[in-house]
Amino acid sequence: MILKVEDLKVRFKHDNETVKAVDGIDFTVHKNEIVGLLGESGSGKTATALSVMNLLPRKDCVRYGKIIKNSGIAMIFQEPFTALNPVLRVGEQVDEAAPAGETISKKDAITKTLALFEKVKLNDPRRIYDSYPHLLSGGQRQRVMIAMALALSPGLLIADEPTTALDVTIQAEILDLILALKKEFGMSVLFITHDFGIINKVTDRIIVMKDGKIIERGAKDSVLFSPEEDYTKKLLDAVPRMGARFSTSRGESPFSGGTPGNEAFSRRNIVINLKNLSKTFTVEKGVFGKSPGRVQAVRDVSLEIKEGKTLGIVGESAAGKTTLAKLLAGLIKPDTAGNRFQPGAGPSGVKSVPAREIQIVFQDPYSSLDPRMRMQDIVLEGPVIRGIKKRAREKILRETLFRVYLNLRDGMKYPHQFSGGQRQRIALARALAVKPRILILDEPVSSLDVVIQSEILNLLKAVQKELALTYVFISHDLAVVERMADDVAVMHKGEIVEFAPIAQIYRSPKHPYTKRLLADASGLHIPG
Amino acid sequence: MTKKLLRNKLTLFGAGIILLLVLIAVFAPYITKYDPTCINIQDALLRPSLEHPFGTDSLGRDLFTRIIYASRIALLIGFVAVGLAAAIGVFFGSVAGYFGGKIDSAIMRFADVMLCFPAFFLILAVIAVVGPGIFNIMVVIGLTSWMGMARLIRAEILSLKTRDYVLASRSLGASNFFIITKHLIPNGIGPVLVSLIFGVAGAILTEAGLSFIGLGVQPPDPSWGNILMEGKAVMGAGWWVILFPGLAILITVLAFNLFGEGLRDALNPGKS
Repeated sequence: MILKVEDLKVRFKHDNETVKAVDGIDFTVHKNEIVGLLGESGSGKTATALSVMNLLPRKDCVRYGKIIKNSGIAMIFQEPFTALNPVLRVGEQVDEAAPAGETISKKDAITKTLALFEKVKLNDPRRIYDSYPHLLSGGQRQRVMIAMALALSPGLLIADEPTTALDVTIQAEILDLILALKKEFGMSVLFITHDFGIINKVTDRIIVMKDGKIIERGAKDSVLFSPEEDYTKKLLDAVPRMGARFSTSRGESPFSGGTPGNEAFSRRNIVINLKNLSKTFTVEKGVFGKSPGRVQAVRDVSLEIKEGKTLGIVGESAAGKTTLAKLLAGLIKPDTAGNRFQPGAGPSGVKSVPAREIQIVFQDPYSSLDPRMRMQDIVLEGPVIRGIKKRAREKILRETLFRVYLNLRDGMKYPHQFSGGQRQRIALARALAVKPRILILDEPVSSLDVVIQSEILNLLKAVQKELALTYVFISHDLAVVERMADDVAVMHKGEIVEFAPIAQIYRSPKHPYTKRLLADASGLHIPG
Repeated sequence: MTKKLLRNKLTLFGAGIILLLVLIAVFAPYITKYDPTCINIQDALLRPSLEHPFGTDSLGRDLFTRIIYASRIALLIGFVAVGLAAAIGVFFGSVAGYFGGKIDSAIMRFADVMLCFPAFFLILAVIAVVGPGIFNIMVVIGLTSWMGMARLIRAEILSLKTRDYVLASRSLGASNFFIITKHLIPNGIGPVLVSLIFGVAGAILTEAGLSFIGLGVQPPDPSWGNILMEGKAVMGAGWWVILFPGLAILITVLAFNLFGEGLRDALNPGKS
């Protein structure tokens, strides 16, 4: 037994209110096992980890219960960038990490750090040693953090969402590394996550938490594949599954991207036809900058968007997805003017879509709503800008809120009084209030918990059906795209590497990058 | 935020004094029975008494009356000058921050040039040209103290203008004016409000200083600065002629600074 937690309670005092972050939990972690601590945000996962680490804030926070540790414990965090000191070279920061009471010479410390960098498979350890955190990629930073944790020779590693901020291919690499190190050093790992795919890949046992209590616990397979508690079932049902629509074993899929012989019909319904769209950003280099740096975020993108359908755009971060979204929404101008919406060349011709009929919903519902505006003013911002009369606006408000399941009575509340899911529905309502034809959804669910994610996706589908909307759905999550899209464009380094009906992408991907993306992602999902 | 503002006792104290000063200024004629400018040589330099709580000056005018009438001018100049500075600063700062590029460079370099001159001497130079007087002082203080506020609002707007709600607003078809007035200024005004409160204290001090050297409010109109100046000549004969106007300046400036500090803490949660 490495760690034993008995009747742990954590209370936070906040504005004369006491919040029970952790409400009497018991668990143990044994030698050489990986325990997954699973739950939505606010379930008390992180408060539990911080209690074990003795890192809870001293002010306004009370801890009860017993924690027995039989070995050193180290922790890695979700955002390695904020956990590293930006003005110190990363090597020096790892040098500083040593088990309590142990002093070694500067030279030995450097040797030890370089050895650890090898262990965590950082290429060119010497260069990494001398680098500052901002010069490293997200994956490299997380490897440095892991090296720092290993320097303490811990018996238990607490990993708090260590891969959430990383792309799927990097995510897979880091998880493999943690598994390999666990084997090599005989460590135990307490793995905190909200992601079922990760839980499935790395853990031996699972603890499901909700509202500070343990709801269910058990061996991985029993919890994942035959859960007993309703809450666990609900969580699992909400998980988007890859291959649910297009498993090869199921034979012909109901989706085949337009019935054959209907070519003319589908051509006529192209609402946006992009031809060779590019966007280059120039990076200014100070006042006396010689030649400014150039980054081509979107390169020669050609796409057809069909009326009433959903175009999924997938790719890793920095692939140019968000730039493409902003180009489509008319928020930034492409390199060559005038090629934004080439009318489709269908038999009867297609009118180009004016920018005002395209709306956009952003990823983060915390920054997409003005914190000083009331909910009803946010939703009605578009109608106000477009000069719609007060009486008509009231009607729009009622209809729109009804459509996204928001309560008219909450109209006077401010954004911070709503939950993440509600906020995303407010953002959706704001876009719908101007009756758009095309809605661009830029990672609309990736900052939400899985149950809320599923609710929002269902809502989006229902709204699309009722209003005959065209969606451009941008996501890094292939399972989510699979659930939503009709056509998929795969983006890589600013280019569309593959563009095809969804069934084709998921069943027989052509481009090597698509294949890699699918392979990495399927390792991280529970098979449907 | 309001709750936090009320929790701090010093802030409340400052706010209370400001409120009291405003009431005194508004109801000055009902508080005292004397005329602030009526000369009565027989009563010159009387000690503080029940009849004249702060005593009288070298021309026999009731000092208490003069000081409370002077608070009218001090507050008027403080608020109007700073209001003007804030209007100019918020306008230039938000335009510079929002549009960026050459407009930004032009406005902010101009602000830098203005900041190069020591404010008090710049004011002195302008007053020397346009002549003293309450109106001129207000305008000159306003025109020479907007730069700090422009910098504050510009910095706020630089970070706010990339927020998604601004992009969303633009895709709804909002004009630049709508985005600046409805989204950016309301969200970025916090630090400017704090600087505004400190600015009032600064403007009151500047006015007192100008009046003290004879370039501000002109006698016989009372101002804390010119009461002090007149008292300086006879301070050997009567300590009260300089003590009370001095205290008035001290307490007023202190009150605005206490309130401003409380406001700043309330707007910056996490820093206590």
